[in-house]
Amino acid sequence: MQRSSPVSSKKPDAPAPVPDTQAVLQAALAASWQRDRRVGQRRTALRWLIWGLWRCAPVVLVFALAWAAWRWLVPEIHTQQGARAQNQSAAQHASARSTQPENYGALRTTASLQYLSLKPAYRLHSKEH
Amino acid sequence: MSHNPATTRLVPVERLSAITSLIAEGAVFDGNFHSTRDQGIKVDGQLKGNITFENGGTLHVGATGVVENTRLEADYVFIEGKVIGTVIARKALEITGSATLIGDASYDELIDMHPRARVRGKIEYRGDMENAPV
Repeated sequence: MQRSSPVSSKKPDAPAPVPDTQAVLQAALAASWQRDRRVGQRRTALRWLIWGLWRCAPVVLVFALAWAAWRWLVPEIHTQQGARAQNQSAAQHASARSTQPENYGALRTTASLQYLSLKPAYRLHSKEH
Repeated sequence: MSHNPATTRLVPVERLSAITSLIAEGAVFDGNFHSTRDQGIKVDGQLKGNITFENGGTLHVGATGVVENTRLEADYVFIEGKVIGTVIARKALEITGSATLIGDASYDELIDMHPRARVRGKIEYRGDMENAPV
């Protein structure tokens, strides 16, 4: 059985439809207008932004300097305050220690030892060794 | 897709919609464009040369368009891109905020210029100023 080739069975192609010139032109113009709007808005906004930045440049500069100075000074103040607080707490600890005997436990131990090492003459009961 | 042309203040939308020639973005046209009929051209690419419409005519330089070494003459001129040269608008001249014009411009009736437009050159009114009512 012979197979018919696809070329022979295919009908001759119909001529491609010619697009309407006006439709193509209007489509091209519409695409162009859309791009114009996008590019134009972006460029105008950029111009406004640059103008605004230049206009506000002194204020922005002052704020930036103030912020930098603040960032630079605040750690110094914090360090000084921390050191002062540490000194104060150390002084408070020292004063608290001075009111209490420093070797309070040791005194108690020596007292008990003294009691234990009493001479026999001072003992209450002479029979004790 | 948007079917409205760019927002214009002076140039009628019908004039922009009736544009018959287009230099597409990325294309470079070197030479003069001349027409005796009331037609229109939109430049989105680059054009080096003159554009002259003897009768009527609408010229639209798109935001991506650049026209150099030129003398543009038409009834309505709408500039969104960059123009280096002389512009003559017999009826209305409109320069948007994205436009750059380096050169002189003259108009007979109406002008509109956006505050962010960049213009370096002389703007001249060609109408009769002595006999004007005000």
